[in-house]
Amino acid sequence: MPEIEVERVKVIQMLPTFMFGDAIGNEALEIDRILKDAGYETTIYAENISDSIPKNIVHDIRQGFEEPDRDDVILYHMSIAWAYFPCIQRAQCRKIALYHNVTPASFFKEYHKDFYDGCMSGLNEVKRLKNEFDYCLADSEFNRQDLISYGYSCPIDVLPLIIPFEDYRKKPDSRVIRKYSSPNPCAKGSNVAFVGRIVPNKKFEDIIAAFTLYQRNYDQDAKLFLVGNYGKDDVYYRRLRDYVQELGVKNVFFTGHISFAEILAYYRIADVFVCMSEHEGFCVPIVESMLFKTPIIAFDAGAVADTLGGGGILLKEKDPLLTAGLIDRVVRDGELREEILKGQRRQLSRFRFERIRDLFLRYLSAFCGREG
Amino acid sequence: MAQTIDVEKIMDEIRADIERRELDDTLVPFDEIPFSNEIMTVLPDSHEYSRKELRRNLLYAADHYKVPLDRVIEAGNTGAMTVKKAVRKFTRFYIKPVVEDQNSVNAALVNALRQERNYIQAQEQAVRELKERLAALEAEIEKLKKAGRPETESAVSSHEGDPRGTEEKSSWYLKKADKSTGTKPRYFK
Repeated sequence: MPEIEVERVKVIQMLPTFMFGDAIGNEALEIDRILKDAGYETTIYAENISDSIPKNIVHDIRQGFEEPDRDDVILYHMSIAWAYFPCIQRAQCRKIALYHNVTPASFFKEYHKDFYDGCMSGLNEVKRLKNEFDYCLADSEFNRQDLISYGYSCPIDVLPLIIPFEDYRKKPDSRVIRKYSSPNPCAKGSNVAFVGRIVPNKKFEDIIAAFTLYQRNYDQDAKLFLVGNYGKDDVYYRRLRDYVQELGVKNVFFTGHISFAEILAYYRIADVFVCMSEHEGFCVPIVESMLFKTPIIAFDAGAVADTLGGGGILLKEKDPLLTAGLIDRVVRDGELREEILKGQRRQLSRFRFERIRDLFLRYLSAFCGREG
Repeated sequence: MAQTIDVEKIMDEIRADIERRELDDTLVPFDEIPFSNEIMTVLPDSHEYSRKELRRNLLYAADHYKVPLDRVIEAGNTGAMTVKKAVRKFTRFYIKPVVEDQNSVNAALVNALRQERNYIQAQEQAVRELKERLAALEAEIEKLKKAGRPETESAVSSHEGDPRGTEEKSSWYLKKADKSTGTKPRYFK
């Protein structure tokens, strides 16, 4: 099998949207860094680029796209439909899809027509492209099975999202820590948290319902931090806000868009992380909670079970009062807490940056070494 | 990777604790919360009370009571847009106080409806408590019936708080009756 020298292979990452703080954008940046360190020539192209991203790192595909050579590799981050995909189709080179999953459109039907349409066309495009790629990398086994069910017959491997643990050692926001730390969560005033954009598939209403019963029956001073961005006029966010008001529950905080230091602070003060999401392609916050030694309670949906991997507590059913009881148990029962954290530590080692980096480079090297 | 923690066992313990402590699990269903982009219409009058509809409409009204004065003029023919913008500007002096008055009325109606809702909730709570008390009294009556004591005298003794025996109670009662108008006292309305 002819070996392709690393130095001769150019890897071109392509993605529709590159936003600051977005998981896919972060992944693309990390891959860029890894490839450069390994000696590959590499670039990134995107269409919608947030202003805070330096122009020399991500190129605007609307300004033009340099035709790749036969030995080059396009690494396409597949998550939504993209008008520029025909550029990738026409390119006479090898192609890898990095599949991040498409949120089922049904979650947006009542809320946001544009997102609904985008997800519908995104999923249709994923199915349509089943013969376009030479190789696929999926963030999780859940995503891999999705591709297989859509008829993808090329080799598919699982590559967890690349999470640089080093970034999480940065200094957290001290103001948040001072204001919200609970000195004795076993007695009262425990902090429950979830991190994620305020979108319908993440089922914030189920977290709020469980927390309401937890506050009512177990810890009247408990606080709930919903750390995620939202639009002020967003229909789903307003509904959640009305729900909180109607339930009469207190100490529910929607943080909105905050700095990375503040996000770190909320992880630091959380006594338990609760996830009721009904669709996740990977769920980075679960790994982040493991990093911060926060016990996790999560509903079994999408790739959550893959990412938890035996760590944390996986719920098979949604019962708000049972979940409230479980939150109380996790906060107060030191032995159970330690057992959960032990499982999470074991699982966390699977996502070590060095391990995922080496896995990615091995996959890429093996792919490049195959005959075209 | 399978879970090493026996989650089922923990959940069973929590269920048992919930049952033992009779914890409160009442929640407003999320689907009763209206969407802010809904277009509300008048529903057919069913003459039946629906808490869900009260909540839905009250929440919607509270979210939307303030009708905005300024509206975006949809993009279109340039000439038409210019005319529309001019009309908007020149009629503002007249429209503004009308909108402000209407918003004030809307706010008062939302406040009034909230008071109505609060009253209904208080009444429902009072009815719940009375029903509980009634059920407890009925259970006690049943218990005493089974124990073989006449319910009338036991009801009197429990109602009056008189700890004395049956005959004594009767004579005490008759003495009380004599003291008044001589007619039989009325126990029950």
